[in-house]
Amino acid sequence: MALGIVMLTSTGAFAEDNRGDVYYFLKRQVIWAILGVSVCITVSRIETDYWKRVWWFFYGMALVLLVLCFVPPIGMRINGSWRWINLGILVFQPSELAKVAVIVFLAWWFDKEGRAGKGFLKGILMPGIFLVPILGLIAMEVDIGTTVLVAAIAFGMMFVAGVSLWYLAGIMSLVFVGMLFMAMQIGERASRLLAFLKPDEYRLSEGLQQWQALIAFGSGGLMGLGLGEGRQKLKYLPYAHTDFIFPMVGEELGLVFTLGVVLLYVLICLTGFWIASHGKDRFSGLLGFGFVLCIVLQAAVNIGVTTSVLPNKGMPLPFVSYGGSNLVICWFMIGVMISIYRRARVLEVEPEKRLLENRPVLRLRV
Amino acid sequence: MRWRIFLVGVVVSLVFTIYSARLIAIQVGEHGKFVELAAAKNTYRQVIPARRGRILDAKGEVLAMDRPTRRVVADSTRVNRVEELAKLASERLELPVREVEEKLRSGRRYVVLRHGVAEEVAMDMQREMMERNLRGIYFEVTSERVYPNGALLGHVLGFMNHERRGVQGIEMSMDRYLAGQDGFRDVERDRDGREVVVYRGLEALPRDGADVELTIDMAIQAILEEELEKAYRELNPWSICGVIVRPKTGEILAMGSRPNFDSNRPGEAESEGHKNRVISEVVEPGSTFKIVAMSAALNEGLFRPESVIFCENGRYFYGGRVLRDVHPYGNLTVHEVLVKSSNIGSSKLAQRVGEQKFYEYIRRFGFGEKSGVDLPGEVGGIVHPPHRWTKLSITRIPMGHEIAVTPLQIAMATAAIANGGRLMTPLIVKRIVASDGEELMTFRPVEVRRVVDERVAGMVKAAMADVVGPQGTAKLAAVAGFRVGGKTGTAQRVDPRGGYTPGKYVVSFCGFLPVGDPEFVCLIMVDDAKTLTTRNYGGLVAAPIFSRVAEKVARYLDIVPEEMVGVLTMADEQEGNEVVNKQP
Repeated sequence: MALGIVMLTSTGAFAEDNRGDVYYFLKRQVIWAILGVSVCITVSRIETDYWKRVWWFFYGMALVLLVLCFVPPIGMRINGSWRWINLGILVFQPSELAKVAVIVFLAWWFDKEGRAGKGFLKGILMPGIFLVPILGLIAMEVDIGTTVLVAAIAFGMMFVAGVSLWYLAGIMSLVFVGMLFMAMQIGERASRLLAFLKPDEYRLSEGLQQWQALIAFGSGGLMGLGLGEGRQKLKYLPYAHTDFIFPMVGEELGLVFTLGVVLLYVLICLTGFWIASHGKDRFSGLLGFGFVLCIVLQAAVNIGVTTSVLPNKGMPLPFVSYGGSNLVICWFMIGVMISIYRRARVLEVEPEKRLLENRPVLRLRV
Repeated sequence: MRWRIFLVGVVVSLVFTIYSARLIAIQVGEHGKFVELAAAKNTYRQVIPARRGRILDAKGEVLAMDRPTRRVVADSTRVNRVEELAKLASERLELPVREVEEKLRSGRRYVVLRHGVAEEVAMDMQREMMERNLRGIYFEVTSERVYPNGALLGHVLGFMNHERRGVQGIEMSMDRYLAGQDGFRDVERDRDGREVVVYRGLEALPRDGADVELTIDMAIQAILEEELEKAYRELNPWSICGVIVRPKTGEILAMGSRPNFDSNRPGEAESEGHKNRVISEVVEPGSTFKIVAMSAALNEGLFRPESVIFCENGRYFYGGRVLRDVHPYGNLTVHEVLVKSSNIGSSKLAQRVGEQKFYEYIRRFGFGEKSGVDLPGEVGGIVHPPHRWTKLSITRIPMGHEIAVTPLQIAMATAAIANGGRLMTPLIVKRIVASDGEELMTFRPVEVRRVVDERVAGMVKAAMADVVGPQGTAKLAAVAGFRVGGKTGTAQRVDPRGGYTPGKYVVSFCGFLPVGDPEFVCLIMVDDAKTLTTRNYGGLVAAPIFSRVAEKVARYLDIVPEEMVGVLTMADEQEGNEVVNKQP
């Protein structure tokens, strides 16, 4: 996150809508970060069982807020999407909350159902009925990226929860066929989706951002141009402070830092999964797994987009990109992870391991 | 559950491993390619124009200089509010709104709205654009050539084209010294095309052009052109020109022609006005050329000034044709042949010299070749070699026919006599001084060759002094207080289609002052003055102009008067008796 703050100082000053204040984004992000860390500390003190009892609150909140997105005075329309809610002093994306809601719900569901969750009815249909309204609302906001992300997290959690592989494979193939069908139906959309494969050809149209991102990475080289020396943020790269902050890291700080960032996410992933698999019960295991998957998938999509491996879909780089609600939610998730870790079964068995294992977690926080 | 989590972990790690590979490939593998792409996109080379050198006269007066201005250009892809911007631009730049709007909508990335906008106007407009947050119009630093003296000396100074290259006069001939070397700067721009000052790259400062100092003295130039202008108005000729040369050095002190043009607005003049008659026009010189025959005859030792020549009483049968003098003469001395401007006498002198020898003398005086003055557009004239002469040529060429020369050649030949027989190269540029004050070049007087002995030159000079005397053809050329030497010339105007134009004459007077030690030579030539045919002679038309110019120049140069000579009366004017060959 320190990297995020530093890069924001560098890029934010040149961003389009900084409203005349070079430190506009920085100030806001610092406030959000402080808020996020406080949330993290608070949450880490809460027993995981508590989340089991309030899943319905999250779920309900998410639903209500997602609906509110479409109600003009509160909901905000930016760039043609109803993704934001304006609460006067702060603006945030309910879809962030929806991620948490879905994960908490699924963790509760599969914990409750236990072994019965392997079947079709309890494993696929029932959670599906709960999921569809949320996914539908997010999709209606025109936020395909988040929809896919939430669906992927749900899919991953079902997989881990032990839902029969046959059913999952069925869903996979259904989705795959559906995507193929859609691509066929809308030829133009297909070409857009495929633009990422040939950044050179689409460099002036759909692929502009990704092409500029590649130039940023490429000109950065091994050691980078130096902090603050990046050129691409000078309006060549439209979202250099948010979704496309990673190429700026590449341009200014070089391969050393980009690989470092990737490594950090791998560490978050592995330690997170390790904690999850040692959770004190099925619920905290699933919950932890869901949260980590959520953070890591976002990172994976973001990096994939900026390096032209995936089609362009707006997805922040967790902890690094500018964006308040995402940051707070991510910290919330880390807080839950810490809470799970404290109660992990492994601690009673091998107390001395605590110190060793504590390290990566601490490192992530800095 | 654990193994499933483990499996997902493996998959995720795999994905990130792929990313790492991808990052390495982009950032290290294709590093060079992307660096180039980034540079190509962000940087461009901005030219820093060099300041063009000034043109100065001999006294340091500025004749041409650069004034900084702005070129207002638009990038129509960056314009944010067309109507508002067009309105502002049209007000400030005094352009029609529609034209500006059209350009702003053209979709082109570089459209010039207006050249040569004053700096204050441009700065003002720029400020207003900033205040109102208007984009898309830029102000490039350029400069404008200014000629403070307007049309004065226009033919010598020349002018420049839109690419800022000299296309005439000194601006052209001295272009490589004046132009200097443009500098450049590699600048990086953000996506809106604004320069990012922090990232300024390679820079090469411009080398400003050198100043060119002329031999021209603007005070003398003003005197000459004032008189030319006056005569041009009064006589309404096809053209008129004059040149003043310092005989000892060959320095050109003044040079002017009419019709003319203003270097600040060269496009407004007719193309005829652009012609520097002194170097670009060829004419039959007429009797001013007779000094060549006399010089040759004396220099070859065939005659002495007092040798007598029979002038056939005005009718000389030669080669089946009759050659006439306007006023018939019997016996004349060689000296008198020039004073009276006898055609018959001159042709007899040339015949004694011989065709080949005479031709050599013509060439030795500098006719038939370019004088080498540092001005573009000079012509060499036409002098046929003897094997192409007809039988009549030896009688016609001595009086300045069948030959084409430039006014400058006549002036330089006369200057050679005034200079004791030494022909000089005409100089127009005195010095070239770099912008840092270093003298790059100094033009010293160059003697082309000795044409005749100093003794012979003295004899010719004495005869030329008598031309302006009471017996001569050019009494009106006299200048109070000085002994003036000179020679008149009157020739039928050559028709460009061949032959002569009846009733049209090119009349001239080429003289120097003072005879004892000539300080300057001045030629005045009037082509087709609209005056009575009976009055259209060099002694009546050109000589008075010379007199007025020479008097003022002598006063300006502060030449000590040699003797008191009575001012001529109007009655004397009537006796002008120029001898002309009016061929059948």
